[in-house]
Amino acid sequence: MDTLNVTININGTHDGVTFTESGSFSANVRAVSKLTADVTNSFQTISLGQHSFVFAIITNTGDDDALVFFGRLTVGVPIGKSIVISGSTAEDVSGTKAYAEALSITARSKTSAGTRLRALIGY
Amino acid sequence: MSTFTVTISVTGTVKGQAVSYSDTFDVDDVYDARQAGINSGDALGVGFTPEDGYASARQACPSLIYARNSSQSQAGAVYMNDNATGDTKIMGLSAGQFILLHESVNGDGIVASNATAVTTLEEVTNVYVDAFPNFHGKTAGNVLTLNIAST
Repeated sequence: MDTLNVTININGTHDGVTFTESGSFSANVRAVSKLTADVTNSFQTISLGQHSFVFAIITNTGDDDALVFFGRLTVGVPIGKSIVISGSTAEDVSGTKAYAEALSITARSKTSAGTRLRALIGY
Repeated sequence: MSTFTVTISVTGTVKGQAVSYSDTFDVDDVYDARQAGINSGDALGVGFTPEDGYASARQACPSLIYARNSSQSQAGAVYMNDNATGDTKIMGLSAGQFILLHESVNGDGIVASNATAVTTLEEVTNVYVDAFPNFHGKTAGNVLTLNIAST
């Protein structure tokens, strides 16, 4: 196991109030993978085998929104932004919680416009 | 309107190879921002109000959700109510882990539960914390959430 350090800082001032948020965690990972999706409306999947991902940083460098599928959830990645996902996912439907590890992560462009995603995934 | 700046980085060494990844971007035109620390020993969602830390959004769906499990030992989870389906999307976070999610530029939501060729992202109207369903007990860590609503 190797260790990666993941950090984030968010700073801004709104209505005279300064918001400062920072987070950092060290993740023990067996490996890292880089995912890119740069073909129109295509799927690109990284299979994680039997190892659920620990974290993923996914950046949209294209000109259209994108989607990332993992575990029980799908999340959007807006143009020019990065998302951070970590841990595991579940969904509560009518009081029944369904849990799922993410054994793969798939990226897809949201419409027909070109999308370029780059991602770093630790697992 | 204000601007928030986000910086993310990953550093370390894996299998002898250095790993370095970083990104910085702005969230522009922020007109509403909330920051709340939520201590989740309570039952699922019950009793959270804006006064005691329930991070609700002024607009239908926040444009950015940042949530960090600030516990040093306990797992926790961020719960997001899906306005369209009534279901709840759950991100389980180990101690110290965090997530950063955005609404799409098209303004049609943050999360969905399917992964089909046609996927519609849905609005998240409430954010709260509790234990992760796969963990025993109801003691979850403190989770800080930051909602930023932008236009």
